[in-house]
Amino acid sequence: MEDLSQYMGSGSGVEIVNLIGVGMVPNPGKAYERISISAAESTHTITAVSGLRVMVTFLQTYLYDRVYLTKLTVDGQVWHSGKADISSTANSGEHYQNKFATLLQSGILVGKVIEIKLTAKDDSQSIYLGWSDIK
Amino acid sequence: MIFKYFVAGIEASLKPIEVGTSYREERWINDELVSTLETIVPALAIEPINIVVSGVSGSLMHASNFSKITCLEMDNLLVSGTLNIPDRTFAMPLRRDDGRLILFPVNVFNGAFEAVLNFPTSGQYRYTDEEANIDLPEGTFTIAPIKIDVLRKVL
Repeated sequence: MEDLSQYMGSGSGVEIVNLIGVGMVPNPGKAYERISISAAESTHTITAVSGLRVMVTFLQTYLYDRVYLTKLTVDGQVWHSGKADISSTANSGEHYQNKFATLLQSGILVGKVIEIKLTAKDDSQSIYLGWSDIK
Repeated sequence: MIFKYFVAGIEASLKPIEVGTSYREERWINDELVSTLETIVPALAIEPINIVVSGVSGSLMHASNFSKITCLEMDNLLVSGTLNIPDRTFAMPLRRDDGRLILFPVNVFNGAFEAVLNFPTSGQYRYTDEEANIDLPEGTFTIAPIKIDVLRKVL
């Protein structure tokens, strides 16, 4: 079968070294982990191990949870600043209708250090975050 | 992988377990810090949303708990029940015995849903947690398994 991974990542070829990125504690059988999010702004930093980069592959809220992206920094460069709703508001085939959330998990988030700042409507929200190690 | 936990900036010897405690979790591999997550001990594990079927009409027969339903092909089968989500319409996937998914529109209004199912061919269909969570993070919905036998209509 053709190696489709070469087509991922902002149109440039990448080689996935670890589908489950180093430093992730995935849910059983999944390529993402669940992280509880509080109303206070929280910072989540993924740092690539030596010689590699990381690519965010999954950034999605639990269905109907309300979580906002407040800042996104890749290798020190601010990609986004401001409160952006990344909540999942639909299900089934329409689950990915949130365009901002779709953008975040489309393979463009690639770098040595990815810093994600989030807030939530209260202390009982959660997200699913997944990443891979790439060359 | 080595885990380190910090509460209010002070390293804790164990992962916090007290509900509502905010903490930073560091993960180290070979003396490299590979991820830092700021999280909170949740009040409760997130429970899946229960899909409760409470009525079926248009069937030839069905079990009292709706675990098995028998109907004819091309007949409308109305399934109703409760689902505690905001009002919306979504696609309900049923899996045929050959593995194919058949999608039906479902309307949810005021926590109640109605689905009109109409099967073009005979066969066995099922709706379980697996089908209810297709394209969703695991454990979003749960439902008591339903098996639908669709019989050939003899004219």
